[in-house]
Order: sequence, then structure tokens, then C-alpha cells
Amino acid sequence: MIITPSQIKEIKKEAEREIEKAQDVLSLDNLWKKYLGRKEGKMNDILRGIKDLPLDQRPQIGALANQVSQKLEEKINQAKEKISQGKNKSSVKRDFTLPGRKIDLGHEHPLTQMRWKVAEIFSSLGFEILDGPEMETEYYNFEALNIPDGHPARDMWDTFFLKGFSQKKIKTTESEGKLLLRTHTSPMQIRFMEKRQPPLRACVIGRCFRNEATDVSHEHTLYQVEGFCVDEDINVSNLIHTLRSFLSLLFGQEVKIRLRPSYFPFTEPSFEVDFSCLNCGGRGCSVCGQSGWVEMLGCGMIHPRVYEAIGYPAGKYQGFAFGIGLDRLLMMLRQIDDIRWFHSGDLRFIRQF
Amino acid sequence: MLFSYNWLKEFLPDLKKTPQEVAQFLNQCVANVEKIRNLKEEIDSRVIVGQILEIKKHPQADKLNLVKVDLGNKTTTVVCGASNIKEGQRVPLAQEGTELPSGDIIKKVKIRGIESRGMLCSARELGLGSDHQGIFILPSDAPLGQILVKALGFNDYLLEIENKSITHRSDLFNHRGLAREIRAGAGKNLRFQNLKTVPLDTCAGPLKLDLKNKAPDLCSRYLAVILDNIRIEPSPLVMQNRLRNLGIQPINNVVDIMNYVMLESGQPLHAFDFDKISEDKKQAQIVIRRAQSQEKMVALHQEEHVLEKEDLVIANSKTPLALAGLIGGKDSGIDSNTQRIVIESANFNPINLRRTSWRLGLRTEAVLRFEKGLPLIFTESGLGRSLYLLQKMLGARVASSVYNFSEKSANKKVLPSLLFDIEKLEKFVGQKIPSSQITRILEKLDCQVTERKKGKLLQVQLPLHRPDLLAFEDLAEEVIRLYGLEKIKPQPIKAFLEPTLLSPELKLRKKVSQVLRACGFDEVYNYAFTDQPGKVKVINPLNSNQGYLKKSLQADLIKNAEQNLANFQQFKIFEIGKIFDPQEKIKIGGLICAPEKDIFQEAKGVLELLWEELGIDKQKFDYQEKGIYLGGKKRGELRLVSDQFAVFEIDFAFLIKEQNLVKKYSLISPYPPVKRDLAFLIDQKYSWAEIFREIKTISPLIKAVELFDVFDLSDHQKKIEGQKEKRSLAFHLIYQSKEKTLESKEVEKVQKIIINKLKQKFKAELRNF
Repeated sequence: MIITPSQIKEIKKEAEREIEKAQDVLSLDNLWKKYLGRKEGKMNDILRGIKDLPLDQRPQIGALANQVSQKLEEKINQAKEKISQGKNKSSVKRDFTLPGRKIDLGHEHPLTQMRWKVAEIFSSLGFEILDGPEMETEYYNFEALNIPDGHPARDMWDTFFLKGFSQKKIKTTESEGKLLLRTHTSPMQIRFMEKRQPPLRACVIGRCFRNEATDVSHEHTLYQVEGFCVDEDINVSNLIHTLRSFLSLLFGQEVKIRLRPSYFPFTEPSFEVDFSCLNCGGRGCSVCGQSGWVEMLGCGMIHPRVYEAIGYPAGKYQGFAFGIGLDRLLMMLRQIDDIRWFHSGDLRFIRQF
Repeated sequence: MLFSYNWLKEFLPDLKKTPQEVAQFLNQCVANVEKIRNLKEEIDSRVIVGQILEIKKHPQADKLNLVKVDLGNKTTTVVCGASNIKEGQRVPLAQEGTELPSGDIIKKVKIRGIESRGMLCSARELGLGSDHQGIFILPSDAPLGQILVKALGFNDYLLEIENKSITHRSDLFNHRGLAREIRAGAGKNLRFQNLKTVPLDTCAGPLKLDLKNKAPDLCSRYLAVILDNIRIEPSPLVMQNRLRNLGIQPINNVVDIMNYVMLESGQPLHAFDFDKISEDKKQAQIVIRRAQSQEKMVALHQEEHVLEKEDLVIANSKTPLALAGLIGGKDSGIDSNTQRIVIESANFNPINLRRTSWRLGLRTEAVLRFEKGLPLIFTESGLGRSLYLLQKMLGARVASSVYNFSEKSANKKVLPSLLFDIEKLEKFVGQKIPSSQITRILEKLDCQVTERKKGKLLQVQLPLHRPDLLAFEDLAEEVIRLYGLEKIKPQPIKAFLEPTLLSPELKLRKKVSQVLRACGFDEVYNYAFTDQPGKVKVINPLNSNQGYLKKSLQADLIKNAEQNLANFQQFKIFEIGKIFDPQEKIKIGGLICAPEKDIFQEAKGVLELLWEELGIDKQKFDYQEKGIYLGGKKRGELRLVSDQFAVFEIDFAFLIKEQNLVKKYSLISPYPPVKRDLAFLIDQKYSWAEIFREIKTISPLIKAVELFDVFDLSDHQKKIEGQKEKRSLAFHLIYQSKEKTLESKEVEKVQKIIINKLKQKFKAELRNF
């Protein structure tokens, strides 16, 4: 068999023509077999034939054949790539607006989220975070907090009284009085201070109960944040500073607050605290009843009779305490219309948070 | 409590502050003002004074009348159903177009064929108190045709103060007390108009009282005096209006004066008809005593009260005349024939009175004041004031001396004085308040102040009307609020740094919540109450569905799930809540709802993930039908409620002890693992746990045994294969060595041992699959 360079070039031309014509990958594969395939490929025939050539022609023809083979291989690959690219462009165009695959993560109840938020702030201010028992005794819920039986201040709290069937297990001695559901988190002031000596700072976040009918803005089950701080020289200006810091951190902006005199049996003096309405910036709107201020919490300097009940030496300690309704705070922040959503168990509500 | 701005101004004739400014001051320095009401705006000016000329029966309706009303310049006829009207009376007529406080608008209407142009109104319809017995009959001197608001002297503002914010200030439940506060807040020397009173020591007369106090512990002071020359009439319009505006129904001149004095100076008074309680018309007996058990008394409003031993009554020798401080008796009260009266001005034990009041449901204006512990001095000033008004308005005459019982401790003429430490105040407030300013504030509050120890201490003599000031903190409050709370500069707490880490309980809560939420659980909150009998009963539940505290979270989770089915096909919910068993415990409850899934296994998978995340070996748990056990103790439950719901409830407290949050690292083998699968037919009586344990003990080269397929042979297959009570278990076996690459023959060797062992122990039959 005689192989000339022109013969090789002829094959090359022919192959290139065919490659150009080819429309799909399959025909390109066939072309590859036709020219480069090990069995019947034309270029392979040539390469196989080289050994029969005169010695002096072998290097030249061999080099050329290899070169052409390589070239064709390249061309076929390029053509294939072109085809597959063309495919992507036309038929399999990605719609970037299609939604991603739905992945479910559970939702934390908005009140829990609020509890953590408050806990985080007070933790950062050096307050220990507590909860405490919901079943309380009259002593801790009232008496130790300077609300003796027969005191008109008891009218502030409508109370659920309880009867445990196994009285042995729920210890209420005569002096601790009746068993009840705590009406506020303040009993934890007593329980905590009974165990500890000042200086102390604590924040109680927990569930409380009021025996009153529910409606859009009233619940028999509610959540309260109670903070207190006692040392030898904790004073009114510290109270104001702490509350202002807390509210500013909670709302994520500087908040103005104002104190007004009020009455709570376990603090003296007692104050109501208003903060400047975030909705209108204090100009007056429907959220704040046109006053520019929102009434949010009660506070005061811990009453000496509370220290007396705990057994602290008279006159030694000063401290403040405050209480905020967590539900109301959340309702205001998120503009929730009905307090009963919180205990509805309705996922249409919970999944929004 | 409601306060009239005009009335306050009578005490402070030179007051320049507007009602809004007064309210602002009170809010900042005294107590919470909930509302300011402008009375003028509250009644439509189309309501005018008319006089009834004629009353005729409605031809078509028995219960209706046609009333012809003179309006001064014209007459009109209205249809009216009230039975208390008479010809000649003056009445309020709402003309066409009037908007009533209820929002109703008066229109010209035909009632049973007769046209009615306007409406005669009751006091309640006009928003004046609660009286809806009949038409509001005006005094005969109300000017005909005049706008009602004008005729009633409604040129006034009412300030509504939140009662609970002055619980500790019994001296403020009256106009004089609040006026004192306003004066304290005003500039220097605002003139204070004192009330005119009759000095009690000038009282004398022929009639006598036989006063006996058998319960001095419940009544520390009791003053009484007799008056004659009484003629019972309606009181003047001005007084009626004041009472009505402040929520008290006018009755007659004597009763109205009693109430008027209470609103004015804070002392509740009571009037008896002397001739009804006296036996011989010269002398009456008054005994203050505890009631007998089951003793009965019919009160003014005809209601019979059954008394208990600790109730205090005012009686004569025979019968109770009044329930002390609460309500008068039917047979001792003032009526239109009364000519002589006994006025009582007393101080009763607040706690005891309050108890009786709540038990009998008598929450009167008097109790509201008594239960706060009134200043003793009020008994005298109240009585003196009522005598002055009775003399001036009725021409009544004092007919006896003043009878006075005072318990020893109640007889003090001065309150103790307090030593007020100025440096302590600085430490308490956090900044210095100049001592001259402190003195000025205290003096404005009627204290007498003397400097002691070169001005470091102030000796403060308290006024008799402030028995609430007992300690340093009380005086500090007075000074701070009048000094101005806005002047106190916020200062951060100074303290030693102490670490304040979250408690283990809170950390665990956070962790559990994280794991469950990652598994797709949404958190719900439920009430503590249930109707299912539990270990703790609610003595006074809001309703019968909430009679107990719950001892499990599961029922409410199932209820939540059922309700959510209306909106969602599948979901998972959890709650970390308390149960009462009867001790209070925290539980973790969860529920999975997912149709066509093996929700039981899924729930178990969630728990296993939780154990793993908490670092507790999941193999330590023993799952039984009755519960989940760890170390022989029941720690929770996992059950299928129905095809729809799988529920679990786990103790919380034990997890704190069992958890191990420090994860251990174990060396990762550089040699490749070898994976093999095996499947067996095994009798159902053998649990997977047994089989698993058996395999694991065979060789240390077995790194993991992972079950991937379980099925019970169907009935059909059982018949064919005769394989009753058998199931197929298929699992992956992962072999790995830490020392070398395993050769296939080493693995096969162990595989053979497994096959033989399972055959031997469980009669397991190797399956091809």
C-alpha cells in the first residue's frame, strides 16, 4: 500500500466536511469511528500501513498522520461541545424564578422569642435569669410582699386558689397560707433573696395567672418579666438607668422614659413608667392614645417590709424592682390584635414569627 | 374616683391652672389621671328643660301616655311610657335631632299611630349616673326652656383618678385632700379655703344617747349627735348635680348632705331617724357590737343579710340598726316624715369591714374609703362639716351634745414625728436634693420641719391627715415626687462583675427547642387548666372546663392538632410546659401529624436525635408500650393516638442530669470501611434490640449495624411459605479496622459467624434479596 501526503490531506478534507455537516452527537461519534476508530478508522488504516512504507518515508508520513488524527479528534470534540451548548441554550433554559425546594424549620412561639430577647438583655446587664414555681402560697404571693390578708391592695390581683389532693406532697404550712397560682412573678423576689445575700441582681420571666374573664385584651394566663437589684446603695437613678437601657436595647433605638408616682404594696416609692411612643416618636397617635407616651411597666424601690419578711437586717439594703407584662409588650411591638392568639395553638399565627 | 374641677377650685379660689394643667400636675406628681371629661360636651344642647302640662292615656296602648310639655316658648307632645311622671313636673326633653350618649339619635316618630316629637329622658339615658327607674325629674326651679346642661350647672370638668394608684392615700378620696395636693404643687402660698364647720364642743341639747362600744377593736372612734327641726326635701339643684356628676344618686337633703360631706372631706357619715331608734323619744341607745351568728338584718334596699360573728353592727337594745360602715337598716333610715336624726361619724377597722363587705357583696362608696384606713381626724371634721350644712341648708338644730367614744390609741392629738436623714436621702435617690428644698416640700404638705444636727437631720411633725407616713421611705417618696422625677439623672449600677451564665435548665430548654425546631416542630403554648380530674383542683375556676391543673401536656397537644387540621395536612408541634402531679414539673411534649408516614417511627427518631444531641447514649433507653424507661425509671411516653397523630411526652428534669454536652472525639480510621448487607427471616418474638446486641458482640471489626428494611410477611406469603409470625430484617454491616485495610476473606469470616450465631440463637434464616 502506498500512502502519500496528499492522500492523507484528502482524508482530512473529507472528514472536515463531514464533521461540519454533522447535526448531532451520534453522527459525530460515527465519524470518529469512521476516521479514528481502532478497527475501521481510515486514519488508523494509514497508521497501520506506515510499517510497510520505505524506511525513509516513515517519519514524514507518520508525523503527518498523527497530526491529522489529533486535529480531527479536536474538531470532533469541538463540534460535540458546540452541539451540546446549543442544546442548553434552546431547550433546557433554567427558570431562575422557580421557587426553591421547600425546607421546613419549626417556629419558636413569639412569646418564647420575646423571653429569650429579654433574658439576653438582662444577662448582659449582669442579671441572673430565673423562673420559679407557678403554684405558690399566699405567703410568698402576698404576705411577704407586704400585702397582708384584708389589705385593699389585694383587689389588684384576682387569684385562682388551689387544692392539692395530696397535701403531704405540696407543703403549705399554716403560716404559708392557702395554695394558689401566682398572680405575678414577685414571689421570686422573696424566694431568691431568702437564699442569697446582696449584692444581687435577678430577672424572673414566667407565667402568671389572673382570675379574670378573657377577651381581646385580657387573659387569665399571662407572662411577666420581673427584675430586681439589691445592694447597699442601689438607688432611684440606677432604676431609671436600668429601665432606659433595657427598653432601648429591646426596641433597638434610644427610648425616652418618664416616671410617674403610683402605688404597689411591695415598693416605696412606686412608679409607673411610660416610654416615648415608637410609632409616632412622641407626637401622639392611635397607638399611644394621642399622648405620645405608652404606659408599660410598674416599678419602685423595694419596701423595707419586704426585707423584713426575708430577714435582712433593717436599714442595711436598698434596691429596686420592676415588672412588665411580656404579652402586652409583644402585642404592642408586633401590633397583634388579640391576646388570645398566644394560647390558640394555631399554626397560622405561630408560623408568622 | 371622680373629682370635680369646680369643687377643687372652691378650696383653691386663686388657682390659675386649667383642668388639663391640674391633670398634668397630678399625673406627674400624685397619681394616675385616667381621663378628663368636659361635662358641657357630654349632653347634647338640644336637651332642654320642659314642664309637663298634661298627661293623657294613649288611645292605642295601655302602658303609654301622651304627654304635653311646655318648653317656655312653645309646647310639644311626646309619647312616654314612664310611670313616675306627674303634671307640673319639670323634666328633660330631648328634642328632635338630639344625640344621646348611647349614640342613639332622637327622631320624629309615630308610636302606635300618634306622632311623638322628642323624648323625655331618664338620668341614665343622659349619661348622668345609673338611675333608670323613670324620667329624671328636675327640681321645680329649673328654668323653663333652658338648655339642660346650663340648667344643671354643667360648666365643669371631671378628673378621673385611678383608685389603685392611691390605695395608700386614704386622705385623697375626697376633694379637700386632692386640693391640698394641688396646693403643694403650686407656687408658694396658694390660698387654701378651709371648710366652715360647727365646733363639736359647742354642741349641746336636751336629747340623749346611750352609747356603748362593745367592740373597740373594730371601732376605734365613734362620734354621734342628735339634731331636730329636720324637714326632708329634695336638696338644691347644685348639690344634686354635684352628687350625680360624681356618680351618687341624690335621695333627699339629709342623705345628700351625708354623701356630699364624704366627697368633700372624706369621712363617710350615716344618719338614723332618731324617733325610729328611740324607745321613749327622749333618749336612744346605740350599741356597737359584733353580730350574732345567723343574725339577720334587712337593709335599706329591702335585702335581707345573714350576718356572721365577726360582722360589726350598730344596734339598739333590740335589733341591729345598721351594718357598720356598709349600709343602714330598713327600719332606722330617713324617710319623708323624719323630723329628728342621729348623725354617726366613725372609724371602723378596715380589714374587718372589708371582709364583711366582700362577703355580702356590698362594695359601697363608704367601704371604698374605710378599707383604706381613714385618718382618725376625719371623724371630727366630717361631723362638724355636716352639722354646718344641715343648719345652713335645712335650718336643723343640734339637740344633744356630741357623744364620743375614742379608744385609747385613737385618742392621740398628734401623730409621732419622724427624723429624716438627708444624707440617706441622697444615697437613696442617687443625687443630692438641697435641704432647703426638702424642707419647703415637706412644709407644703403641712408638715412642721425643724433642723437637727446642723441640718443633717430634719425633725418632721406629720399632719393629722397623713397617717400613711410611717417611715423614711414614705417621706422620701413625698420629697421625690414633688421635687420632680424628671430631675433625677439616670446613673448606671455600680457593682462588682460576676458571671451570670444561663442556668442549666434554661440552657437545656434552648437546646431542646433547637433540636425540635430543626426537626420541623412549631412551638405552641397551652393553658395550665383542664377539665380532666387531676391532682390539683382549682377552688374558684373561671368556668367548669378549667376545674383542675393538668397532669399531662398530651390532651392539649391533640386538641391543637385537631384544630390545625382545618388548615394544615401535616405538621409537628411541641410544647415545653408545666404539669401538676401534684408537684410542678416541666415536660417536653410533641406531636407529629403526617398522613401515610410511619409517624411512630418518626417520633422515635426525633427522640433519638434529641438523646444524641444531648450526649445521652440512645441505647440506654428502653421503649415499652407503657413508656420510655431509663435505668428502670419511667421518663416519658411515646404512643400512637390514632393513625393520624403520634405523641410523646418526656420528663425534663432528668435530662439535666443525664445530658453530656462535652462530645468525645474518636480516632477516624485511615483504612476504608467495608460494607455488607444481610437479611434474615426471624420470629417476631425476638426484638431488634436483642438481635442488634448479639451482632455487636461478635467482632470488634463491626463498626455499625444499620437496619434498613423491616417487613412482616403478608398473610398471603405466610400461607405459601408457612412462615407464621416471622418478619424480615435487612441491615447494613459496616466493617472497619483501625490497623489495616480489611481483606475480603476477613469480612466473610465474620459474616459467617453472624449467620451461624443468628441461626443458633434466633433460628434466623438467611434470605436472598
